[in-house]
Amino acid sequence: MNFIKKLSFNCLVFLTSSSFIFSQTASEIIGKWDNARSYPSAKIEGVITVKDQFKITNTSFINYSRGDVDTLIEFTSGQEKGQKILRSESEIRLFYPDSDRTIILKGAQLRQSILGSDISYEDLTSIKKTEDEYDATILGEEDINGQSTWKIELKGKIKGLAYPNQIVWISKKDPVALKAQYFSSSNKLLKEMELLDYKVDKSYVIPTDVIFKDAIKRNSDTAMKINSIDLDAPITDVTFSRINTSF
Amino acid sequence: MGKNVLFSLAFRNIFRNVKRTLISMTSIGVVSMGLILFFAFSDGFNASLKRTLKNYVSGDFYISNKKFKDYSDINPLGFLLEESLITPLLEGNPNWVATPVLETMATVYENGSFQIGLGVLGVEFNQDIKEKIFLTEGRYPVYNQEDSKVREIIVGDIFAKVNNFKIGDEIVLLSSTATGSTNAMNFTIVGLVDFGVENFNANYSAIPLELAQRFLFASGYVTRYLIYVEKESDIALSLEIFNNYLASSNIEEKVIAFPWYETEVMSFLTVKNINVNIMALLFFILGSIVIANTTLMTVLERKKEIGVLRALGMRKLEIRVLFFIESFLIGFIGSIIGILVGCILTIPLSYWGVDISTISKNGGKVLGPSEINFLVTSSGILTVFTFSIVINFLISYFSTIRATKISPRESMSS
Repeated sequence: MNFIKKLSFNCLVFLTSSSFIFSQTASEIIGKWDNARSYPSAKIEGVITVKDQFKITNTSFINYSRGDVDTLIEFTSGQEKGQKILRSESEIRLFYPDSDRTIILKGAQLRQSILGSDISYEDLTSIKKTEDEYDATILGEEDINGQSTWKIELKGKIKGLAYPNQIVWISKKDPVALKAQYFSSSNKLLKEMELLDYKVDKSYVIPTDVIFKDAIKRNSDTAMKINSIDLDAPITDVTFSRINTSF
Repeated sequence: MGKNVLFSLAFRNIFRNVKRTLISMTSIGVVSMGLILFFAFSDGFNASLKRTLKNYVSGDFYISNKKFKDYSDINPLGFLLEESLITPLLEGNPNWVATPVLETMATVYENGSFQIGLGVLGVEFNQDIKEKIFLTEGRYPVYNQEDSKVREIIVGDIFAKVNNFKIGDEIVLLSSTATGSTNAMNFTIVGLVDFGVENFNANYSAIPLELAQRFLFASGYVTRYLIYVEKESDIALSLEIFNNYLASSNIEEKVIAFPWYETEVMSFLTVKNINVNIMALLFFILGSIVIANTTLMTVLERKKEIGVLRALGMRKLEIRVLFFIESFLIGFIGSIIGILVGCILTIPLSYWGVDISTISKNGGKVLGPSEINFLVTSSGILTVFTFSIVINFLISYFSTIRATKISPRESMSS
């Protein structure tokens, strides 16, 4: 009897402690992932390739970012050359070379595609830490492209999220998501992301070759390749001011 | 009895009881006039739809990307026509008037938000377009290749009025582009226009084609080419030329042409015409009853006279012929007068038209003409004239047969 009690006690301790450890691990993993992509400042240059069933278009861009919030994306080639997207804490502004007014996107307009790609302006709107917006649960472990990952489910805990449910596969080696699936509140798959390559610089992880797929569109995908990364670029308030982005 | 005698008798009878003759003629005339107005309205409506269809949608026939028709609702800028594919065809047929159109639905950005939708037509402002888009104020826009800041636009006069825009104002338009991205552009309003289609006046604008191509990242592309030929009968031959060109250029999978009568709007028109024909039939029946009633009363109230004529030795056939001649003369004159009055009434209705703008402003680019100009056609006149004479004749025939079957004694005592 004493043995049974002892066994039961040990099992209880094991179960409660493993559950605690699992929960802590999910939180830690997400925290590390957030920290690894939250560069103080960065100037990133790359190319977005949009493929659909009829054509392939390449558009180069420069992305200036500071902290988790301020981001300025400028397209530097193609028909969209000169267009800019400025993300600040409160809004997303678009700048077009042929218009002297900046366009503030709101509501349904945020669902419009950027460059006709599988990425929408809505995808840029999330500025908080993942943990502030989602509850994370480890679903298990999986290998993605030969790398061992944590499969983590993210369930939105605030309203108005672009993707209320997500599943991310975070590498055990580096704090980076190798794959992600984005779902609606009714758990319909909306988008998928696959990371083909990334670079580790200081304590940061920068995705350098990413593919996005809109699950609703057929025969289309958007590839984003990073050509250069400068984490020490001098980026000031002026970069994100409306003066800098007006024409 | 000779034919001349019957004619003079019939003629005399018409004037013998002027009041009765006038009542008969008036009833036939009113029915004829009503039918003329009815057909003039229906034909005018068809002509208005056909005009707007040809002006903005189809031309006599239109050439577009083969996939455009199937996908235009989902992605209107995704399946544009590459101009260079058909340039040799257009150059080889200088008798065709070719109007390129690049079209999008943009949004007006005002006071920090998207306020209203505005259709944008990119067109070449040549004489052909100026005959379709009428300036009510200002001037047509010009495109300045040297100065990219010159971006001029004309807007529908109702759109300007409703949204308080005036000439000289700047508007910012945001649109999806042919590459799938978005673009915004500032435009200066240089003119207010009447497109002749209420929905267009309330919701559309026009800019030079080159500017539209720049705005929509669609250089060298158009939504469609509207082709106009000299005569309606030239359409079939022109389509044959087009098909031969497609085959020889090996672009059958990229380009297609549709004549105006094969557009979706025409199936609406066919349904509408069936409705009109049913209404016309009801109107004819109603008209027939009016004419029959008048003619029948005229014959039956003259039973005594028929009895006297029979007693005097006039044969049944002669009496019938006499009444036919009378009916014919009354019907002929009555319907001629009715048709003439109907035609005269349609002159102002044809010239100024009937304003249906209030009810048609949401009717779409083809279904929403601003006004209907009544149209009298020779076939309409012939139909109404034949109807009036035939109905009058038939009613007269049967009622006279009935009247002449009664014996002279009975007739005179009735």
